[in-house]
Amino acid sequence: MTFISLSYLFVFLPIVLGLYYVFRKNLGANLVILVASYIFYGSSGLWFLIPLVFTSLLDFCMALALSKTDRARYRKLLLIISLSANLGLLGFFKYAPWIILNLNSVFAAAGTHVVLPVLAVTLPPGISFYTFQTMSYTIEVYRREMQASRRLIDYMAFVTFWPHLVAGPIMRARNLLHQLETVRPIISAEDARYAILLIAWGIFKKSVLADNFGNIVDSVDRMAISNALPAGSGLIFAYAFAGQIYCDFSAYTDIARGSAKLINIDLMRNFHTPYFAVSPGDFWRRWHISLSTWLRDYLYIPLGGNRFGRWREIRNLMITMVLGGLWHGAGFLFVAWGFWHGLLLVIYRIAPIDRGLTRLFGPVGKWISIILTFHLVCFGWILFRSSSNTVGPILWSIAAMFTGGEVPSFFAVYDVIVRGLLVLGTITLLTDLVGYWKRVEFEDLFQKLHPSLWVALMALCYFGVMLFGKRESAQFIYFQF
Amino acid sequence: MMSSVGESTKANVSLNGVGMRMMRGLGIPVICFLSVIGLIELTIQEKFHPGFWQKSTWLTFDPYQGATFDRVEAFTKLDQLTDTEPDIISVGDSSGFFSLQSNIINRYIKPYKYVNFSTGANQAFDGYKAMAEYTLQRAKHIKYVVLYMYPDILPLDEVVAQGDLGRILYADIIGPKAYVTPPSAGLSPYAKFSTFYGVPYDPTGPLSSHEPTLEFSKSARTTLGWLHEYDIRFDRVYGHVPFYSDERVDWYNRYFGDPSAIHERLSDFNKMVRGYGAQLVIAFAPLPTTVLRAPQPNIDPVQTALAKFQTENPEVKFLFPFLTPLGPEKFGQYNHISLEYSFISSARLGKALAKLTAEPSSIPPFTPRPYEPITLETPFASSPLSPATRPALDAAMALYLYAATADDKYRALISRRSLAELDRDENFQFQLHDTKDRLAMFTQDGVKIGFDISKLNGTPTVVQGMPFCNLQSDTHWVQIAGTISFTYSSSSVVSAEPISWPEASHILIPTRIEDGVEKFDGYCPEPSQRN
Repeated sequence: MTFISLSYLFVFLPIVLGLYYVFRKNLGANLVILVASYIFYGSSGLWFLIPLVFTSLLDFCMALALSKTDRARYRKLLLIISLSANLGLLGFFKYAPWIILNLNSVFAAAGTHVVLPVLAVTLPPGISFYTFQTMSYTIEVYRREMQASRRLIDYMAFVTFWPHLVAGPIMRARNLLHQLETVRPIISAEDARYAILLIAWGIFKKSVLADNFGNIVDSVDRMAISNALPAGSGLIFAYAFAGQIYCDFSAYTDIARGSAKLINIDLMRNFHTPYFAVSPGDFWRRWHISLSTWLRDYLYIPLGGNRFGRWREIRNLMITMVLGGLWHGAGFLFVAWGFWHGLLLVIYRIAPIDRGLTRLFGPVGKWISIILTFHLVCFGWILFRSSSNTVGPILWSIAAMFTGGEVPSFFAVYDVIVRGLLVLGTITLLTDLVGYWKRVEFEDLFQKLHPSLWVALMALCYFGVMLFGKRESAQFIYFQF
Repeated sequence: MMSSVGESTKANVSLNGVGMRMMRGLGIPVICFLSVIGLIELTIQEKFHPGFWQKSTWLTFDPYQGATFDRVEAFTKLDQLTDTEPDIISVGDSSGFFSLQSNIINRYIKPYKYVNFSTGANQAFDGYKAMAEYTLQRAKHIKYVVLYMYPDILPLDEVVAQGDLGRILYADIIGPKAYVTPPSAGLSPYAKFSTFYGVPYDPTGPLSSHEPTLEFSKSARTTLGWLHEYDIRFDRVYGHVPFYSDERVDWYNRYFGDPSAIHERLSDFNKMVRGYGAQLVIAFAPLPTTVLRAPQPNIDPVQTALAKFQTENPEVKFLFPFLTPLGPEKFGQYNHISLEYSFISSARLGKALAKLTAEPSSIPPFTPRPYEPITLETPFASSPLSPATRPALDAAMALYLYAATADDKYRALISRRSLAELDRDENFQFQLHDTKDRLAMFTQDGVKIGFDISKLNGTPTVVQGMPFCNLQSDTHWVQIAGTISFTYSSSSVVSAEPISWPEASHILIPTRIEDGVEKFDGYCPEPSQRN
């Protein structure tokens, strides 16, 4: 089931909310959440529930066992079992088929007749999200940062909580589990309006902005496949994909946060005007915040962070970002994307370009830094979105702009693409600019909205979707991770 | 015990108080919002009167990609043909779409009227059901619904899994979405065109510049749903397609559901058809003999499942045996009859429907026939005899172009034997007249249809092991390969669709020299034409 479906909005959500509020004051509330989450997730494939239930039960038991012992070696063993099982599950579904495929290519290139059997398994949606979430729970219990949950239903509801199950935000147990263990008050009318508008805005962003940006990306991609890319079109590809992935992923987060808010549960923010970052480091403080903080807390810092000198810091940054790239998908271009961001972080640590620009040019320097960072991020998006067949032509078409390619002809011929990019980009940029100036996310402004303005914005979202929305919305990009 | 954060204060608030606050804070804004959009939607409905298809999301109006052929084809049929008062309709995969000329079928079934609603396999199986149900809801006196399927594109799990468009079509035109899509959705193309293109949307304009789409949109009402085949992408020598299994893919269905996908889906389809007071008829398309030259272990179990369905549903009529082989030269795709031979498959269905409508009891119940692969006596071999020549190409293409254009200049390039056989067949003659009428209609509307063969090659070839009904010592073979371009030009749109006819398709045409001219001699009548 997807958030952008009539069955979710008009059947699933109302029924779950109704049942939840009937059982709100007792254990039944979390049972409703658990069953609803299983229905939500299992509707796309019943067997997907098997790894989900396995990993949830395993970490529940490991954490309980951890809480009952003080023996350091035993505790370490329990943690290792939990991490191995979670990473093993991720490895089996996500990386094993890719590794085997590449090994077979290597064997073939070496002239051997060894052919490893290819694993034909479908990747369960959101497996990267929920395994990271259950791992963080066990790690926190291991570090004694929180108590192990003794109520299976509450714990299972935490892992499977449908709004964020498939594409995050990756919630820490101490935040979400704690909320689930309490009886939550009935949502206030103001919060309900905020939650509903978050959902509506998310649908608008997905259907109108992300999917139409996606059309532009696909158009250029098709040209790249047929090797007919005019100079400059790679830049259009990068800008459009920057818009698509941001609007797509943040739309999912908005709908997730709005859905959770309707049962008075707060999910963490995942974005904070990321394209106004002044440096790559700043970008990662604003982009997919739940993943970047997870990687920081459970990978970068345990590796030593910046505590053991510059070279160890550089190594730790590169390891964290390359693994972060690999987390997104099994593919060399994802690794390259992670490497690129690692490299940017390292360069900016050694030479903080943004500070230099601000010192030299004041506020103008800051805006130059923002524009520069955006373009560095865009280059990464080319690696993230393209395939081995298209990455070359796309990069080449950008290079051709500086080597005599006829850029104006592209703009004339593909007027519709450029026009679309301008329309969609302006909406995305303006809304984020408002958030940036107010030092919040644009969505945060919905919280204190006068009811009449709420009605107007809801109507705007509704007619926006009806008139400009892609008629058959594409799947959320992050579902595949 | 669960803790109760915030409960101590909330507990003192009476339910009435909470309810009133919710009403004021949420209920009233929601009512206002619904009223605003309701009022605007009503105004749009009153002012613009958007129809079903304008509101439907089936046509995507994607600013960056023209409507796909599959979508336009289904739309065109449902939009243009439901009011043609059919008594018999066919739905199913493209073996029906490209191979069943309604006008030929209608020669046999007077006073009934047949209309072709077959689409494509990517609409299996929900899409066929949607096509039938939508038409049954609107054309009230349909008596028979013919489910016309290629024997390998049955309602099997693996086939249905690939039929992604079928589920979308069903949701868009039959499911709840079809009824709840609001009037403002009808303005979407106008809004998108003016925003993304900077030009106003023209509802009378073409949905795509794709030649087959243009030609079909223009001719659907005349052909009653048939369009000629474009491809020859099927290997006429080695072409082999493995048959799918009836086994369930999903473990749930395997252990708890109906063990036969065919049985489950046909039963459901039959129930739907009966619900509208019509009768389900199942017809299997012919298939090329090359497909039957290899072991096909799934054919017998599939026939058993069909027989089980027949036993449980004796009112359903099966018009043909499961397998009807035709010479591979008759096919463009493994399941599409090529343009020049579609009169054969059309007459085959016409005759069967005539029998059904005249005397339904004469149709025997479906009985499985054990499958035996056909063996080829001599191994196939071919090699070019000389470079490609234009006379060889003209001779090899003569029947194709004669059938496509009804132009007598191509008739002169067909051998006496082939012409005598073709002239004897009333359906071929009818097809020529029908083509003439259709092309006249195009001309009257300012449209010119063309077949550009300048990029095709006709290579004289030495061939062994190719079955042919009139193999003589002076038989020549010409292999056709290259690109044929189908063109459409009108005052508003000019389109050319280059289609590759690859060498790997082994398009080998027998020719012979008569009166000093190389002529087409590849026509071989099929046994079904004699019935």
